[in-house]
Amino acid sequence: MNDQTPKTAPRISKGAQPSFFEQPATEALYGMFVVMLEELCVLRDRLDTYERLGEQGIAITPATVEAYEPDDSVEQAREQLRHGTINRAMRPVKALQEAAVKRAQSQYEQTARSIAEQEI
Amino acid sequence: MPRGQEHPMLPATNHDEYAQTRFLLTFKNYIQNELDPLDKELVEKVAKPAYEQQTGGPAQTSKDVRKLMETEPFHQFWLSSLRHQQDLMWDNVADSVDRQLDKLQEKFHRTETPLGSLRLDPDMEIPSYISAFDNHRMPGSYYTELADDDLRAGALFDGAAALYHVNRNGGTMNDARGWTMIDHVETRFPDLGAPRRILDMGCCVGHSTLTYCEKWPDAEVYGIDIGAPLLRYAHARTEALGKAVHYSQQNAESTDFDDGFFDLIVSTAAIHETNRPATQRIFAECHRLLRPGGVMAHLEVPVRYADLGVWEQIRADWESQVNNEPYIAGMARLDLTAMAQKSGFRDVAAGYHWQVPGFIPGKSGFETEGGPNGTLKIGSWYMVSAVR
Repeated sequence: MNDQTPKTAPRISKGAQPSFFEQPATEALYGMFVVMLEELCVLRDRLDTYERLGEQGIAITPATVEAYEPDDSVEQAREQLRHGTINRAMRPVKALQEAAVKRAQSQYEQTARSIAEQEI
Repeated sequence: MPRGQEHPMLPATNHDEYAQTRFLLTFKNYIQNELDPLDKELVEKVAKPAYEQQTGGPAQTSKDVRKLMETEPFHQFWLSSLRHQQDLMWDNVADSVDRQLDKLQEKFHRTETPLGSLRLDPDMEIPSYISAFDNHRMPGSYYTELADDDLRAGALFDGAAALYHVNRNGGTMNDARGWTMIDHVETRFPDLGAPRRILDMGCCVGHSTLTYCEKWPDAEVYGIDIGAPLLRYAHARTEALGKAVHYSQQNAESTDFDDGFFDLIVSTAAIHETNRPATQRIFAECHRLLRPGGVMAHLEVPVRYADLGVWEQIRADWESQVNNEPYIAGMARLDLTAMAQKSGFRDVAAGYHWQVPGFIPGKSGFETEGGPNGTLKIGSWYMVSAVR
């Protein structure tokens, strides 16, 4: 502890931050997207807690929500919902991979065809 | 993580914080189960053929295909997904820790009659391989202190650990690596007997350390690390769990213990956060600290580039290049056996030890081969062990 000790905790890791896309803004946007996906899933879990409490006739208050402990079947149901949400959100990303593989495949087939038809 | 299994020191999670961990768990598993295979397919069907067309020979390393892969939008999202889930994890846990830090600090101050001990060194110089980066993107790393007796870094680490390991390192106790170490030592060195003095190098918050207390209850167990906040938390956690460990803030390259003081020296996932010269010095220090016939065993991530396919190397590269673990790739290419022999050790072996408790059915024990067809040997840990 000395005068150089930071007074507030750092919230991002130090040094240069990675950027994988052509535009750094895309990296930031995707980061924001992942946060929003998390927020949505958290909200969905909270809604599910409300419904489960309602099923049991328990009044929904901050305290009853905090006290609620999901059992294995509830965890599994929530997991399925979450997986579905993430899967739908990532569909456009998966489509990028599909397009790249198709493109490479058709280039290969085109090359193979032109070799087959070359005059020897 | 299962909310009912927290140990007395672990930062508690409220409803929404717990939901955050469940999201990240699902997202991490989604990346591994559904995006990894697509990225690998991209390597096999796009990058490798393109490389072969350009050069006339097959791609054999990640370096061969990296530039091309990094122009592929799917791969960009894959790299970025891994990065953002990591950063979001630390961010979530930091919020959780900060709202209850006062309570955690209080628990540290309440250990008045400790079973173990804590010895800190305020003049300790943090080695450059730790200070240069925030390892695995943890903001502030292991050593940042914001107040007197600060243990925040330890709480942050422990709060995230189970999620980091997708619950596979022994749930919220995160001790499976310790049990794996014990299994390995018993497998390779059945004549060692019950060690009287054990040193855990780079013990961090004591996740593995406490398994040695449990396995060998008559042993004196010591743990060293370079981060004071980690060690304060480790001490409080250990005391809360009713175990005795003597923690001290030291660099494993050069400690103040006497020659031949220990029967067993271990480390779990610590070596990959040093560098090559430091690793050699750590081996030399282990040799000095062990009694003749004593055992050194270091557990590491199960990554050896010689055993990996091209895509698997790309996955391993991410740990070095993005996850701020710069030495992982280097260490995964080193001949650790030769380095141990250079420091005077005999009966040196390096290979993969299946985790205890494991999660790959039917797999146990120590093997030297890598995963089939260059795949990552998930469910195992890479070990190098030897006799003094």
